[in-house]
Amino acid sequence: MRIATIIAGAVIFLLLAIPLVVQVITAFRGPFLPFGVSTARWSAENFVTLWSLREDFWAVLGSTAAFVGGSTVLSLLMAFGLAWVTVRTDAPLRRVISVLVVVPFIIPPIVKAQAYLLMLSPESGVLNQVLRLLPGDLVIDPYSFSTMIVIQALTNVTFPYLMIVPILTSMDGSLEESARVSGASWPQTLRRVTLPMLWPGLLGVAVLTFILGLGSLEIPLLFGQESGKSIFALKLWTLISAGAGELPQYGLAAAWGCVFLVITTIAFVVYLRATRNAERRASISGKGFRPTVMRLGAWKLPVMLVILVFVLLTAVLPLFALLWSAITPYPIAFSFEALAAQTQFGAFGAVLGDPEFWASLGRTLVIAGGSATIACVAATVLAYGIARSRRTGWTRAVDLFASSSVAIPAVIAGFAMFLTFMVINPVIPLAGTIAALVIAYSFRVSIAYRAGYSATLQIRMELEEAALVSGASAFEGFRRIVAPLLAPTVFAVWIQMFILGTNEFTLPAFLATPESRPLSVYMYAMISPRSAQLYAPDQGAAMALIFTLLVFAIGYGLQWLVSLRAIGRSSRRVAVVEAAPEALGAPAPAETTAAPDTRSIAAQRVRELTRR
Amino acid sequence: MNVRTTRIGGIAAAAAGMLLLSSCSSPGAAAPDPVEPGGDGSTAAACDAVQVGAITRCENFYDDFWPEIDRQMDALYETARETDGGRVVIWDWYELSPDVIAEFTGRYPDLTIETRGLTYNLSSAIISAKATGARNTDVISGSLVSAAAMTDEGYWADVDWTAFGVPEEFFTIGAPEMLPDSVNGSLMQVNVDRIEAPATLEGLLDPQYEGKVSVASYNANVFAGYGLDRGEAAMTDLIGELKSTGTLQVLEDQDSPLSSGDVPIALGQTLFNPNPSLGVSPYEDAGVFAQFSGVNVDAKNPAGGMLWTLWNAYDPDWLQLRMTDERFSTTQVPYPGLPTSLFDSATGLMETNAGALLDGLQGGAITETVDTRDEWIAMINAADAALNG
Repeated sequence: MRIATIIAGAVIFLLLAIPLVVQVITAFRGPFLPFGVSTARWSAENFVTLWSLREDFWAVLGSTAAFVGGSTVLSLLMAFGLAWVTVRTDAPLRRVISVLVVVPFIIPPIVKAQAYLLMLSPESGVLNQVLRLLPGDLVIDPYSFSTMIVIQALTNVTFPYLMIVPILTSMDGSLEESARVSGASWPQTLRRVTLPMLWPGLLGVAVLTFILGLGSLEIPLLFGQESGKSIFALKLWTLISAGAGELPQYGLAAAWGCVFLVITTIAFVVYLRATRNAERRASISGKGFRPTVMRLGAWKLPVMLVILVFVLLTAVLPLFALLWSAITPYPIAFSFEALAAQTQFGAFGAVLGDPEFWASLGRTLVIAGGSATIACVAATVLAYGIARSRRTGWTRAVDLFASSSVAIPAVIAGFAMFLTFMVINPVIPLAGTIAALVIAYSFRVSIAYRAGYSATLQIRMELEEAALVSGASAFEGFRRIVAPLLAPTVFAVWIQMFILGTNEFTLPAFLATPESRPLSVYMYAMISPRSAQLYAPDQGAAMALIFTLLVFAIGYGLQWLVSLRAIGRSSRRVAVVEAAPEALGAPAPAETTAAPDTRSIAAQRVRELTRR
Repeated sequence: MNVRTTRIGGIAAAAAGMLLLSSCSSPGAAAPDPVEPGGDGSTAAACDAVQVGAITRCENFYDDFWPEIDRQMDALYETARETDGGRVVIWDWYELSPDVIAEFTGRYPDLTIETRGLTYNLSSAIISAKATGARNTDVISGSLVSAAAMTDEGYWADVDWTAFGVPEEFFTIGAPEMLPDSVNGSLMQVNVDRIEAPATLEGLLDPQYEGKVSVASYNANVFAGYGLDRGEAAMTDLIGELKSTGTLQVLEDQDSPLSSGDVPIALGQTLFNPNPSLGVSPYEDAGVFAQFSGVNVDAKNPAGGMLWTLWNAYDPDWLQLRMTDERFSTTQVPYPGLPTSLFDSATGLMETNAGALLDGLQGGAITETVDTRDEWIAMINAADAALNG
């Protein structure tokens, strides 16, 4: 088991450390490539240049903080509200709402950004056309900084929502009930009981959402060429694009990346320190707890109206904008006259008949599935090894390092990986290959690591000890006792990482070639006029719709399979309880939740091992 | 962690370090053997010359020059199919569409094309590939300005195209190793249903254009011709005024608002959108530039690169398709040195684009040449600074 842990640790080290080392070397080795060109030499010139551009630096810092901070706060507010409504209230259609909230997560961000652009065009955009029907002559300027913040927030709501739901679900409602019984109103209960209990979890969600926003290129790229040109992701993108008669400034871009990495690392460490004693606030009792359900009463209608507006803005209108784009031969304003005269459905057939669509779809599934698998396997093994090790300075360092990729914005990771694959190419020729993309996508390994670590801590050591006493090796104990118990968590994280991978744009924007590009990049090529011969916005939009449906089906199909497996397992557990209740000491089946279920499976495994 | 673990960790770290250090060496690709023409490829024919702005047109190109080029291409094909397994790598500004590749491989079936579209990062990708030992492109291309880094670093292989039958009049504005293959230039793209474009950039200052004009952040070169004619200060003042009055918006996607009419004028180059409401027009002081192709000194299949270059630039059947088939209407406008009859046959979007560029050339558009290249670069960078800060 120790060897497996070391191998997993080495994989994660290679995934995270080498790209960052290459980036640091690039920052100190010149204006272009760090090796193999005459201009490469050791110097601090890029940092000197950065210092001479400090006014620009402060502008970037301010602009980025406003954009990412603003959108993070808005995202969290919306995500918390939605999670609260779907988990803690008696609002109708809660399951439908929870499905609709996930839809924007599936649409690739670059396509979603394009859909918002179409939706918000001052004259022809559907949303502005609708707003014109209202009194007050309200028109949204799509290119203003505040619009960009709102769009970024709307496109990112699903991620914090998916993280807040389990926090709210697993929170024991008895304290809130006590507060209510003691005469506190709902707002008072929320402010003085609920939020203080939740804040370590919410802080974690906030930090992750912030770092996700910091690395997102799509919205600044499409909306921010003027108002958002100082946003970090766009700044980095601009620096690595060559000017007239010049080569790209990789060295300066790397120096920018290093400085921002220091900032995100500080934020990450602050978060770790702030949540160090989070377990003191844990409120999951382990048996028989249930979240309090708030009766909305007269608030039901206003709440549902707000949710309707949200769903319109994040799912219905963007999908409509894509559909309109797909059924018109070139971008035109929506009108009933155009609907009657200019619509066609040939783009869907053209997409389905396009071999490159199927090829890039296949690559997308391979890259997303492969990277999720590598990340989940390596992270789970390492997380188990570290969680079960004696706490030393070394294990703490490994723990911190394995958790650190959440502090790396995607735009920095993409750039660092791009440099790395070029630098190692003479020895390991991976640049531009699907393998390079699989490796690059795996950089989000920390998501799986943290989940695996938490899940391991929830499994009591005596189960493995019982296996060891019964003659099993450590590896066998892990394989037959721990792995099945970790499997639901690992699989849930795998699905999340898989879906993140299917719509990833920032990483392949740095790394993909036509032979390795996933569908998100191919779609962007079709909707971007910069692609000339590939430019076909109707087919790009049709492709986005087909892809959304496919990922939706795959994602929910996998969830359904997980549910089936859980039901099957639950049935087996009931059989085990009936057969050997004395071995389990289990409470009555009607009262059991996940924890007793876990214990029953483990007990069954231990008994099987004992019999051997 | 015990000693064994520490040792294994040390070995892993050392291996990673060695991996990094090994990359410090520059592999240096072996230079390909030069491809010589089969027999004496030069022709005794004289160019039936007509000036189209700065470009010399040979009206008798297909009668007197093409047969020898075609013969040489057959010989190149024989060499190309035997080299690197018949693989030809073409990195270009734009990715080649499958339809374009199919036309080429339809004529040369034993060759396999790999393509990438790299726009402004074409030069850096080629230089990076050589530095890191990756399979490089066989063909390099660009305008004098956009290919400047490749020219300065010596990436154009020393090919004498006249020895393959190309008239020497085609090499008056570029260098001998750079085969002129197409033309492009700054144009105003206009949604004619919504607005009428002015004839000059200054005309855009008219209040009717407020909020109606877009430019892409990477396209500051649309102002450079104005700068070369009126001076850098006048150019930066104009850009500043267009921005401060709210006339000019910097957009990544200019095409959608142009097509829908929201921002009905886009400063850019040729049009890729078939919307019949759209047109393009040259404007005073707009720059027009020839585009060139050639062979990469780091090419693994130089014969394949040469064959592609000649076919793409001059093959009459292929060019006829480009001029008339809508599938190829977003390819570049052929080099104006080719006969008038070719351009007269253009239809649809290609007719629109070719007409505007030829009008611009004949109207005295400022053209990039080897001598003025650095002035262009300086002016484009000044315009970029004024536009993007």
